[in-house]
Amino acid sequence: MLIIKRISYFMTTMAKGIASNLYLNVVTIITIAVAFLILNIFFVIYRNVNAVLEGWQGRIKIIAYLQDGVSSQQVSAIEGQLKKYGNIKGVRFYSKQDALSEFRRELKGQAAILSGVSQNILPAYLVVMVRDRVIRNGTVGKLADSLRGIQGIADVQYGQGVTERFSEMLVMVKMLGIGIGGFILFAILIIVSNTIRMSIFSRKDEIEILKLVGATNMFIELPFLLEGVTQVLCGTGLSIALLYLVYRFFLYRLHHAFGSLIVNAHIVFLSGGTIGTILVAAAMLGFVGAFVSAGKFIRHND
Amino acid sequence: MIQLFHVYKHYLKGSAALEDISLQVEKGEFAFITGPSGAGKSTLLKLMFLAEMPTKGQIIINGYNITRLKRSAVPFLRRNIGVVFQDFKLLYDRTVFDNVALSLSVIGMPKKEIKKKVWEMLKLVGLQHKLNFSPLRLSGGEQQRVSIARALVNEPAILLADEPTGNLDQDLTLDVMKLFEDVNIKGTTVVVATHDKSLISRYSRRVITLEHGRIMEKQ
Ligand SMILES: Nc1ncnc2c1ncn2[C@@H]1O[C@H](COP(=O)(O)OP(=O)(O)OP(=O)(O)O)[C@@H](O)[C@H]1O
Ligand SMILES: [Mg+2]
Repeated sequence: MLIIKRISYFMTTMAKGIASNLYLNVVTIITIAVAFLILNIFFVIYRNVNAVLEGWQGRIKIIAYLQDGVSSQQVSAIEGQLKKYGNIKGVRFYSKQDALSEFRRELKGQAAILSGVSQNILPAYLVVMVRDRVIRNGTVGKLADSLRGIQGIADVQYGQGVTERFSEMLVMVKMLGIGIGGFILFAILIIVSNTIRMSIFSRKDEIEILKLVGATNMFIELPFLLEGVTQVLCGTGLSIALLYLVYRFFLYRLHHAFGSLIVNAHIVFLSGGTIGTILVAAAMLGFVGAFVSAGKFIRHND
Repeated sequence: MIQLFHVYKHYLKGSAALEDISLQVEKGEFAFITGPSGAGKSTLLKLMFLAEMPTKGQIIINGYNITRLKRSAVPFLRRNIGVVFQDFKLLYDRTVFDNVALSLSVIGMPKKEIKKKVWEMLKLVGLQHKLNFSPLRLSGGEQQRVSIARALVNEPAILLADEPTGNLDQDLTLDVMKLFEDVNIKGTTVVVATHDKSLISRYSRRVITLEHGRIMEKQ
C-alpha cells in the first residue's frame, strides 16, 4: 500500500512541518503537558484514595450488640434476617461467654484488669461482614442504621466516620476527575485542532500543488494527522515525566518531614496500565483534533 | 479527449464566467484559448482540471464524465492531466529535483524509478545540471521549465497551460512553446490559454476565442 511505502515521506513531512512551526508546536506541547498534568494529578490522587480503601476492604465489619436476654432462637432469627441482606457477606455470633473470652484474649498480659470483675457484663454480639461495594459507595452508615431497627439488636458500631469520609472523597475525586478531565480533554482537542489549522494554512501552497499533481486527500492529510498525534503524545509524555518528578519530590519531602513513619504510608504512582491507556487516549485525541481541521481545511475545499 | 456540452459557470459572487460553452478538443490536438482579460480563459481551464465544477452542463475528459465523478476519484483523473501556470507554483523550500518528483511521489512510484524519470525529464527541459538547486536560484524561464517538467513527468494524456509565457521574454517564450510542441508530437493533447495574439499568430493552430464567457465564431 502507498501509505506503508511512503511512511518515511510522511514522517519527514510531518517532522518538517513541526520544525517549520517550531515555536507554535512547542507552545502547544507545553500547554497540553500542563493540562494533562492536572488530569494526571487526579489520577494519582484517585489511585491512592482507592488503594487506602482497598486496604480496608475485608476488614470493615459492623458489630451489632444484642439486647440482654435474647434467646438462642431469637439470635438465629436475627442471623437469618441479616443473611437476606444483599450487602452482607456473613454473620458470626458471639455469646456473652465468647465476648468475655475475646475480651480476655485482647487484653492478654493485662488480665489483671479483669480480676475484680465477678459478673460477665459484656453483651452478646453479632459480627456482620459487609461486602466491598458498601465501602466503595459509602453506604456503611446506611446499612448500620437499618440494622439498628431490627428487634433484639441493642446497638450497632462500625468504623464510623472514617470509612464514609474516604468513600465520599473517592466519589468526589472521581466526579471532579470526570468533570475536569472532560473539560481538559475538550480543551486539548481544541488546541490541537487549532495548531493543525495553522500548520495547514502555513503550507497552503504545498497542499494546492499536491492536489494539482493528483495527491489523494489521505496522502495530503496524513502528515498533519501524524503531527496532531505527535503533539499530544509529546505533551502527555512530558506531563507524565513532570508528574513523576513532582511525585518523587513529594515523597522525598514527606520522608524528611516524617521520617520512617511515612515508609508505611505507601503512596503509589500511576500504574503501567494507566500510563498505557493515557498514551493511547492521547494519540486518539491528537488524531481526532487533526482530523477535524484536515476535514475543514483540506477535504472541504476541493 | 476533452468534451464540453452546454457548460455554464457562475461563481458565487459576480456574473457568469462562462455561458453555454460547447467544444471538443481531440486527442493529440494543440489548441489555444484566447480572449480579453476576464473572458473566462482560466475558468475554462479550471473546469478541465477539476479545480472548479460547472454550474450546468456536462464535461467529459478522457471518457469520464466529471460532473458525475465521485470526489475521491478526482485525484486519479488529475494524474492524467498536467497543468502549468503563469506563476509556476513551485515549492521554494525544495530542490528542482523534489519539485519534479512530487508528481511521481504522490502516485507511489518507487524511489529508484522516480530518480530515473525525473532525471530524464529534467534533461528534456535542459535543467539536468541544476537538479539540486533551489528554484530561487533559477531564472523565470528555467522555473517555468521546472513546472513543465513537473506537469509532464508522469506522462499525462493532457497538458493544460494558463498563460505559461506571461512572465517570460520572447526567447524564453519560444523555448517553452518548443517544449509544448515536442510533447504534442508525442501524442499529448495540449491546451494553452493566452491573451498574447502575437504568440498565437506564430503558430497555425486551432484557436478558441472567448469573450464575456462565450465562444466567438471564427471570423
Ligand atoms: N474564484 C472566483 N470567484 C469569483 N469570480 C471569479 C473567480 N475567478 C474568476 N472569476 C470571474 O470570472 C470571470 C472570468 O475570469 P477568468 O479568470 O476565467 O478570466 P481570464 O480570461 O482568465 O482573464 P485573465 O486574462 O485576466 O486571466 C471574471 O469576471 C472573473 O472576475
Ligand atoms: Mg486567466
